[in-house]
Amino acid sequence: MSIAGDLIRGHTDAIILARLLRSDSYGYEINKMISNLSSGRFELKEATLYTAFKRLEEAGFIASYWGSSGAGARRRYYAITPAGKEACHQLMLEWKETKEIMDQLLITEE
Amino acid sequence: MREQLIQYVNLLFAGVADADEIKQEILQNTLDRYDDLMDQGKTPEAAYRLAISGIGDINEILSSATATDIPQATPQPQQNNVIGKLESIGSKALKACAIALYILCPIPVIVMAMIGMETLGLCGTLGMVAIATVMLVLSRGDNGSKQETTKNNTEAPETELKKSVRSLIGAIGFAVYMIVSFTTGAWHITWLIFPILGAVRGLVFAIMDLKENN
Repeated sequence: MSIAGDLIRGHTDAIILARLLRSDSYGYEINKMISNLSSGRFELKEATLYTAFKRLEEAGFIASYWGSSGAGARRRYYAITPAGKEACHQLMLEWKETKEIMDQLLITEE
Repeated sequence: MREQLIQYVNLLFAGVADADEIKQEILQNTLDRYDDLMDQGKTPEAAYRLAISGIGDINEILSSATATDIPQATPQPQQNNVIGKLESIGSKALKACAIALYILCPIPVIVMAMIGMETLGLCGTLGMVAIATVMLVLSRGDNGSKQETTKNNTEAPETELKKSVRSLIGAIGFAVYMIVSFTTGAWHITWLIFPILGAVRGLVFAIMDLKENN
């Protein structure tokens, strides 16, 4: 898991953008989605998540706003920007290509 | 345990300047996780432990908050653009001063020759050329280190152009030297054409650089 975790962490930006492509969200909700989608096998640390948010926001790929939930807690929500959507599709294509190449490179049977 | 969790996060960011928003966001996420774990039936102690381990290495955030440049092929943060602009203004000013020095460099020779101190005048002139050249090198270094990686493509034709200009100036200079030397016979002094040639070349290149930047 730890090795796979490192490999997946290299795609943190793509994962976050893909989540936000579906709807605006906030830190824990995104992490919860990541955890659920990976059947509990992968999760990001808060620090990693936050650093990725900052990086993506500075790159203009996501925008943030403060919103409050029913319980009155103020949460920072993130929304994907048009540039972010473009970047997301680009990263998805890159991943598809990487996956195809890796699949080919790791074939052991003739 | 919830209170202790809040205290823990507060302590984590104690003494960190401008960390209010970061803290609030991390705290909210951590509390969300804690509440979620409690809903799943975890004991407060287990939820507290898991929530804290979920925070990860806070240095990751703090170092990224202070770093201005993000190593990514994405639009640069504004601060970098400002720095870039300041640097390019600085390098333009350096180039302009270098050009001025090149233009003014014959003055010491002429003036000192009038009062019979040619050697001192020559030293002054060469000194000015040297200073101007250093300024040019510095101004290019500013741009060079930053832009070399991104500007490799645009750099190539420029150096080609400069190469031909350099050989053209060299050829003309040599021709002038020969003609002047043979017609005047003043071989002892005509070699001065070469340092002057260097100055002219520097001047031309500096002007080319300025035009390139504009």
